[in-house]
Amino acid sequence: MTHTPDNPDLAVRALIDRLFDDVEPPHRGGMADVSISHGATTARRHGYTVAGAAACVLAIAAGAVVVANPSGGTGEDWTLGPNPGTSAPVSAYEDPGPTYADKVREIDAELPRLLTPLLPPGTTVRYDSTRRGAVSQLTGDVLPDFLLHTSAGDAVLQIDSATTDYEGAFAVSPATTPLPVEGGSIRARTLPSATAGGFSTWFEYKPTDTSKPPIHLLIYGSSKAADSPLDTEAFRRLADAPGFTALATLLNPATPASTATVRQRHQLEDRIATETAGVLPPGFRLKLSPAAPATLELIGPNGVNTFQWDGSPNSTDCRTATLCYRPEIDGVTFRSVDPDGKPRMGVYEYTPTGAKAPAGTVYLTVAGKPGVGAYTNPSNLGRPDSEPAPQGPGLTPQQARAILGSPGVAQVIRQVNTLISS
Amino acid sequence: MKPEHVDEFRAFVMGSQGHLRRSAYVLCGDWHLAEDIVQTAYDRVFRSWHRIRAVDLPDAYARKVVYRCFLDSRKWQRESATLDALDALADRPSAPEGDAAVRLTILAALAELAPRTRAVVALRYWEDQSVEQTAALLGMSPGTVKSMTSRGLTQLRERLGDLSTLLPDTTDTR
Repeated sequence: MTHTPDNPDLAVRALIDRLFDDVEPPHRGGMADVSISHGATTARRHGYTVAGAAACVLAIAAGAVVVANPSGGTGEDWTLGPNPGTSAPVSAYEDPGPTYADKVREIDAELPRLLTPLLPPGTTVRYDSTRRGAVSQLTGDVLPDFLLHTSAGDAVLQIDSATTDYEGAFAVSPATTPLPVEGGSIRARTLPSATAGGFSTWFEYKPTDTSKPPIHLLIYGSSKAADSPLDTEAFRRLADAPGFTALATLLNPATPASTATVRQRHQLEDRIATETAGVLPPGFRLKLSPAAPATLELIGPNGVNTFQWDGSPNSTDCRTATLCYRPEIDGVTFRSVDPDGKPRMGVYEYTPTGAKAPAGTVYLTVAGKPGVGAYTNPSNLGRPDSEPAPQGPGLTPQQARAILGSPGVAQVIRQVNTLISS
Repeated sequence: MKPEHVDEFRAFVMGSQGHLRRSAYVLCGDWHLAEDIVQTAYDRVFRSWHRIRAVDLPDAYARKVVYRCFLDSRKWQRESATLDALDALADRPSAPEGDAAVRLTILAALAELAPRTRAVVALRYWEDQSVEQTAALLGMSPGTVKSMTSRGLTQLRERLGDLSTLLPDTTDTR
């Protein structure tokens, strides 16, 4: 016997619930980190750096006091002690060859140059670092996207978006049939919005050589479907153009990043090493994470840790000249920590003598190696197979205090964060 | 922002992303645009997190921001079904075939509502918000909410016919 709700409220509710009968596409990963990153960019534009610079002057003036009195007047010994030595050379954990993150950076940098000449006249494509691609929580893969500009306006270009159903788009009646092109075949489908404005266009290039992967592109925008930057004919010309081979090679995940890209990364790491020479304790060095772009790792005597640092404009938990600590995930409040020599992963925070919290407060986070999974902290999200080095134990309070209490550390932090985000 | 507040925000995103994404999908009918809307909402929520976490219920605020973002944003609107396909389905509102066709029918019917009417219908019937709550969330008077609710229901019935034909069969054990 069929029983359906008489109450229109329940009927409409049940109707809308039917939209979710099917399996939903996987969630876009890293949303929190994207918002946090956008928030940090906004804070810099709004002048927090100016306030930080003023506090930095005071910190430099007060730094001599800290150096001259390593106990900080508390009777505790905050000196680093003798170099603990290394279980393995620091260079053992560096990445001489191309990494996954190098490949992502290369796609971000090179795609506009390779794709623009293949596009219709008047259409350009550019990478926007504020739209840094989402990171999949399932695989750690970065899904880059770009901005397309035409006379009709801007549209978004996504590369092989994992959250879109290409086959479903091609199957919408009448189904899209493949068209032969140089070296393979293409399918292209534009579906307009059911309301005023908007379109989506799905593209596929499938090589005849089955050892090479297909290329999937998704373009969407708010203009009319007829104004889509690429129609089927334009995509056919793109796939037939001599420059398409270079684009396909760039997008092929099996093709490692070029030596030029690796060299650029090494040069950037050398600049970071120069900036941090007076800040990091002996035996420690920063490198760019091989698992995710714009992410740092701290190389130490016994392994690597994901690493972040920044100013903390709103932090008022810690008293000036007191090192505080909390575990990364537990969410407990900061507590002062003694120089017990025990390495920890988590968050250390410090406001140097003479600086004023919160503008002059600085903090750092040392965490585990890059990983994936629904419960992975977004700051650790990245391709887990990209970092072969062992995980380090974190930093002792003395090591953290030496970093966060270094004269001029706030400026060093800003400079390094700018370098890795560019 | 305090690091623990940042962690709170991350935990909040983890717990709310599913429902907010579905809410945005009800509004716009497209998963990509839904996630863009939710991401925009999270950006705004994060900027005010130090205030939101202390005063408002974060879930309620995030829901409000999602709906406001949907109503504000025209730039990235797109939907994944053709007008022709939707019109073909609309010719047979009382006899859709297959679950996918039913969902397309429902999406098309919702898409034909004006955005504010769509938002009112989603809040009143899917989010179980009262007239007053809906009015406060969308910044309109309770009277406007009532009239939009009525109009939305009328349009849905005109578009879909007898709503019960689109609901799943349930077995009455009595």
